Amino acid sequence: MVRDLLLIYGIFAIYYVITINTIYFGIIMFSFRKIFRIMKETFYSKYDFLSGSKHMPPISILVPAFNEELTIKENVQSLLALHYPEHEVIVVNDGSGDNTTKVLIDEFRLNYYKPIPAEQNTLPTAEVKGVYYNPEFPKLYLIDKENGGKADSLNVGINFSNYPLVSSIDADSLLENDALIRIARKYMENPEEYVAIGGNVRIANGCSIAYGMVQKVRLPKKLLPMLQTVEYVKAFLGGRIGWSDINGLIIVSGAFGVFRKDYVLKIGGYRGGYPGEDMNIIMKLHQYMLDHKLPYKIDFCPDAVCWTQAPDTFKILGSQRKRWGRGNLKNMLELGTQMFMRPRYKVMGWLTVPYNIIFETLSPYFRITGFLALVGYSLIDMTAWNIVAIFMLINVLYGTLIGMGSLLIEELAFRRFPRIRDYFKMVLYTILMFFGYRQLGILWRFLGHIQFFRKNNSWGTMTRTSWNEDEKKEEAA
Amino acid sequence: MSDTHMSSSIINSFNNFLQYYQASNLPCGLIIVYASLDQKGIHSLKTYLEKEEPSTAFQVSYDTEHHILGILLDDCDLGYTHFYALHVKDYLEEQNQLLGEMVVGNFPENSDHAEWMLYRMMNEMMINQRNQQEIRVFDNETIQNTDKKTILIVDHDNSILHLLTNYLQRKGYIVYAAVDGKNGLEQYQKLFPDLVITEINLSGIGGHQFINQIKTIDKKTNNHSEIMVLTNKHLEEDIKRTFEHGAAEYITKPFSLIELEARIKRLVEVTE
Repeated sequence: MVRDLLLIYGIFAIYYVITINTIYFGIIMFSFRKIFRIMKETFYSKYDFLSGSKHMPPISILVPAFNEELTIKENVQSLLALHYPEHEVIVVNDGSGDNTTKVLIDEFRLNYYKPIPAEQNTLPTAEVKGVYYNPEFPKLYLIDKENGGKADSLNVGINFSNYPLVSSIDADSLLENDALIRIARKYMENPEEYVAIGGNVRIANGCSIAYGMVQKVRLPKKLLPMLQTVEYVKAFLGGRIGWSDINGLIIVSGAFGVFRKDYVLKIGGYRGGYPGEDMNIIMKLHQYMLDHKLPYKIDFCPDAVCWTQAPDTFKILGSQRKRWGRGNLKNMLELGTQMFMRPRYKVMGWLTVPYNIIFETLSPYFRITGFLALVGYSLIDMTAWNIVAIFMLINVLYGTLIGMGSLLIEELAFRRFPRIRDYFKMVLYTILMFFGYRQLGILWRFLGHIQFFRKNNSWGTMTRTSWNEDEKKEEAA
Repeated sequence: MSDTHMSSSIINSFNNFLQYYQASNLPCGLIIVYASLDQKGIHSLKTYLEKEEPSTAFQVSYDTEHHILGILLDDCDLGYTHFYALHVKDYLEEQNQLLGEMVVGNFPENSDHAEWMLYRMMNEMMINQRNQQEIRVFDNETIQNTDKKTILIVDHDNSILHLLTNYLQRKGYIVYAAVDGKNGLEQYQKLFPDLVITEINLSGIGGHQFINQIKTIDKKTNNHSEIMVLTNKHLEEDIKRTFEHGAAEYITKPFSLIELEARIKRLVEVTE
C-alpha cells in the first residue's frame, strides 16, 4: 500500500519534470522564432550614427551604491563615456560604511549642495543628506542618503532624475559602450507601448578588463562562475527572449534595465523591505497596464550587454541564491496570487505566473519529495531501481537538450566567445550542470524559503573585487 | 574589443634604457621585427646572438600580443645595427619564425630623441603592416623636415582611423592613431602633435574629459595643439561644451574628406 502511494507520487514527479521541461522547450521555440528577427533588426541598425542623434530620448542612469569603493570610479567613468546622445549618471550612495563617496568626490572634484526638498507626488524615501556636483562633469550627480536598501536608493534616484526614461544599473556591473543605444533603439520602435526593456547580463569572470571596459571575452577559469555562465546563457537567451516574444516576461534583471519613469511613478516605484525588487516592479507594471487595459510591451534586448562579476565561492553564491529564493517567494505570495489564473491578466495570468509558482517557486518541494518517494519505493523492492534511473535520466537529457538549444542561439546570433574550444567547454558544462550544481540550486532555494518564514531578511554577503585587481591577477596567472 | 592598440609592451620595457641613453647622450641601436617566438625561442635567439656577436651588449623584449620582437643594442652606430639585424634575420628565417618586415634605427643618427624614435618606429610598423620580409632603416623625415605637420587621430572606429591615416599621409601629414581616450592621452604626451582629431564617443574616458585633460597637459607644459572634434554626436549641448573646453572645430559624421582637409589646413597652417 505504502509502496503504491510512493510509486504514484514518484510518477507524478516524473511528469512534473517532463512538464517543466516541455514548457521551457516551448519557450525556447519562441526564442528561436524571435532571434532571427532580432538579428535582422540589429544588423541593419546604424548604432554609431544613432548614438549622436537628436531624436533619441534622454535617459537617467541610476546607480545604487553600497560599499563599492573598489569599483565605483571605473564604473562611473565608463558610464559617463557611454555612446549615447544625452544621458545623466546618478550615483546614489546608500549610507555606505566605506569610502564610496570620498572616492567619487576626489576623482571628480565634486562640491556639496543641500538637497532640494522632495516635491509632491514623488516617492517616499529615506532622508537625503546631500547632493554632490561639479559643473565640469555636468552629467554626473552623486546623492548621499541614509541607508535604506537598494529599492530605496533607486526611488531616490527616480525622484531626482531629470529625464523621462530611467535605467537601473548595478554598481558592480559594466555596460558595453553601445548597450544603452541598443535598448533605446528598441524603445523608439514604439515609445508609447514599451514600458520596460531589459538588457542581457553576461558573466565577466575570466574576461580581461581595462579602463572600465571588457577588452577580451574569455570563459571563466573557475568552476562556479563557469557553471553560472552557461546558466545565464540558458536563462537569458533560451528563456527571456522567448518569454518576451509572448509578452510574458516576469523579470528585467536588476543589473541592467530601462523603464518609462511615468509608469514607474504610477505603480509607486520600487518596493523595499525584501529582495527581488526587480521582479516585483515588472509584475506590478504588468498588473497596472492590464488593470487599466492599456496596450503595452515589456521586452528583452539580448544585444545590449551588461557584464557582471559572478560569485566564485559556495558561500557567496549560496547567499545570493537564498536571497533570490526569498524574493521570488515574497513576490509570488504578494502579487502572484492576485494574478494566478485570472483571465484579465492574459499571458501573465494563464502562463507566466502559474509557471513561476508551480514550476519555479514550488519546484524544490516537488523535486525533493518526488525523488525521495522514488528512492523509498525502490528501497522497498530493490528490483525497481530503474525507476529512479528513469527519473534522473529524463531530468538530465531533457535539461541538456534545452541547454544545447540556448547555446545554439548564442552561436547563431552573438558568438561572443571567439574560440572554438570555448564552445565545447560550454557544451561540457551544460551537461555537468545536472550533476550537483542544479540540485544545489534547488536546495538553496528551499533554504531561502525557510529564511523567509523565519523572517530572516538580510541581504546576505556579497564581496567585490576591484576590476583592475582582477586584471592584474589574471596577468600574473 | 579592438586589436589595433597602438602601444606595445616593448615600449614599456625599453623606456628606462632609452631614457638613460637620452640623458647620457650615448649611442644605441634599435631593431624591431614581426616574429613568432615562445619563451624557448627567445632564449635560443639570445644564445645565438651572444655567440655570433659576443662583444655587443643587448636587451630583448617580446610583445606576445602583436608578435613583435624588439632588440636594443648598446653603444653602436647605424651601420653596425644594420649588420646586426642581418644576423637576426638569418636566424629567424632559418628557424621559420620571421613573420614580416624589420625596422632598424639608431640614436642619435636617426633621431635626436631615443624614446620618440622607438615609439615612431612601432607606430609606423603597426599602421602600415607590410608583408615583405625585408630590413628597412627607420626613415627620419619627421626630424629633418620640420614643416611637416603631425596629427593624432582618436576614434573607436578602426575604419575611420585607417581611412584618415591613409588619406592624410598622402596629403603630406604625419599621422598617429589611437582607439580610445586613455591611449590617446598617452600618445599625446609623447608626441605633442600639431593637431588632435577626436571623436566624443570614446571608451575608457569620454571625449569631453579627453579634451579637458589635453588642455590641462598643455597648460602644464606650455604647449599648444589645435583640437578638432569629428563625431557622431549631433547635439547642440555637445558642440557648446567642446567649444567651451577649447576645441577649434566641430565636424559631424558623415563628413567630407575634402572639407575636413580644408579645415585642417586652415587650422595648422595659418595659425603658425
